[in-house]
Amino acid sequence: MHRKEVAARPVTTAPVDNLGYKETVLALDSAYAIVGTDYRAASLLAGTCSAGTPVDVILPDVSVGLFGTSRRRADRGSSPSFETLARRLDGEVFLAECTRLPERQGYPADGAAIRLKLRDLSDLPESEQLLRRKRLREQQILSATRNVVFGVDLQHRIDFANPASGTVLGRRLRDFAGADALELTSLAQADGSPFPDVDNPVLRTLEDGISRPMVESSVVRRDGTRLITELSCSPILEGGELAGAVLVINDVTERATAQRRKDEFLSTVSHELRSPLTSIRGSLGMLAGGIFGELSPDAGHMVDVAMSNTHRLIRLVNDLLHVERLSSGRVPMEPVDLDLSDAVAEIIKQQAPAAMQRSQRLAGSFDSAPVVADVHQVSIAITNLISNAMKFSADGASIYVQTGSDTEHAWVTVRDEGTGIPADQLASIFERFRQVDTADATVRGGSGLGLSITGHIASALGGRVDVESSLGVGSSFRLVLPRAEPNVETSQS
Amino acid sequence: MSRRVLVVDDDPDIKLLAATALSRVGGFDVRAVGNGKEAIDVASSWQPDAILMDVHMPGLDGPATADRLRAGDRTCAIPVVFITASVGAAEAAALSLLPVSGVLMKPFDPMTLPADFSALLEWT
Repeated sequence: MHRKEVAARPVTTAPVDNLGYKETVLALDSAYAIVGTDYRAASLLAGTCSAGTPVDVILPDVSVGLFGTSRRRADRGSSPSFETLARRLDGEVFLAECTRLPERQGYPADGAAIRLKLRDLSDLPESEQLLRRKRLREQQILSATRNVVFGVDLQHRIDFANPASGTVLGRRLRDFAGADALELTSLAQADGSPFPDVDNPVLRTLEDGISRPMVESSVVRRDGTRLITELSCSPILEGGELAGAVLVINDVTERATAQRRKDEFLSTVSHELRSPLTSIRGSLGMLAGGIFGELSPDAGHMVDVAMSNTHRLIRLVNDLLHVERLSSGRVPMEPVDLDLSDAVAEIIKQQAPAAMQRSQRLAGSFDSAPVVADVHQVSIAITNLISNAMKFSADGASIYVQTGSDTEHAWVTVRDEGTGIPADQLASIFERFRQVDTADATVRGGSGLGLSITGHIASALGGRVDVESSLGVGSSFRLVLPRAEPNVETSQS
Repeated sequence: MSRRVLVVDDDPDIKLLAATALSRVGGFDVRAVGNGKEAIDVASSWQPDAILMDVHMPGLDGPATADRLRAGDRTCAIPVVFITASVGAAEAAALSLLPVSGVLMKPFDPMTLPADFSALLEWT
């Protein structure tokens, strides 16, 4: 170790020697250019660097911000160091340790803004170097992510914070060390109200060691602004014992704000559309009802056309609002005990006149399918499936409806002998305004929102919609919901 | 003698339609006004048997007007039915908590409006 400091020499005249020095001091100006080195540099760097060489040439992986951070610590007397891959002037890459030295005049160059001690670690055993290089790589990965990444102990104190934590939360990295992650971030639900302890994803994960991905939440920056976030908690295990958790916090404020604006816009538009529709529908209704005298058959027909299209517009506005509310979770659900077979029987009764008009047959078998769900929403979901099946089947076709359950699930299956859905479009049929053939919208009516609504209702009720289809043979849609817990008292009575 | 119904809606077309439906189809004696303040004045002087009132109105809105009607000596006994373009179940539930006789939805069918209105008021 060369602790003794020697007077500075101009960089350009430092001789290249082969003395095998493993340490040198570089002096940088405020623009991070090398303005001086000590006598060992030429040996360590395998060449003489000319004055004004940017430090990136030697330390290509170090961002200048790191020098700034280490400077504050250097001035406080601690001597911070970090490892990095450095490059000799002959191109050889080696593992090095950099230490920012405290400010000192004169050495190795007057007016230097930064003095950096560079230690060559290439004499360490190969396995040790590999390990440290791997750690550097992992640090780079953690530094590159724009999400907050915290490591916390069992008392949710932060023992690791990646650089983005500072940027996202508007804090210095030193604020994080040892701080309570919940207090520091003011972690709360997305609307800002506190998590009840039993629902706090961090506390739960630190208790049961189970991952909780993508929890809607919010955090508060140092300046007081609240960010809408997605929080993922994963347990850290040490020897099989729960030792802490990794918290990954993703800022989704922009997305959430855009979603809210869209909701408000749609809600306003729908409301503004409904007023003129009320007037149109009302006027036509009174004309058709003969309030102002009997209409001629032609006039009556025209009024009917206007009426049925007004109804279609009203349905579209209603469906649009419904799907928006469902997707933003703003449809209140009143779960009650009900059997899907009863709901289906009721819906088939309602659809019978429409089926009869087109000589279609609604048939099926109805086994018990008990669920706990909102009657109104379930009925809408099933009605959409059945009326879709009718819409996409020829006159005189049959539609089969079947209900049933196993120990975990209860379902309604609606099968048709219609045109079928091309395989490459199966995945997108639950999107809004998605009809396989754009002509479908005009020929068959419907808003193109029915399946989207059904899909949203299914997931709001903890279920899903499965679909199978083959072109020319037909399609089968199955609404699957969690089966209601068997009620002992009822089954005995 | 036919029953008196006061229609309150700030949209002049809807006001006309509702009034026409209630008089021509329902056979009621109808008057119509365009805001909450007029509604209170006419209700007080004309003494209708019921009021059909829009919820969203500039100035004095439906619920606020209903509150004033209930507070007035000459108007406190007049039943109110709301009519609204808000479809949300949540809004409907909030309105149903108000001490009104019922809520009707826009768009309405003018041919059935008088019957629906009467049913809410339990008129026979």
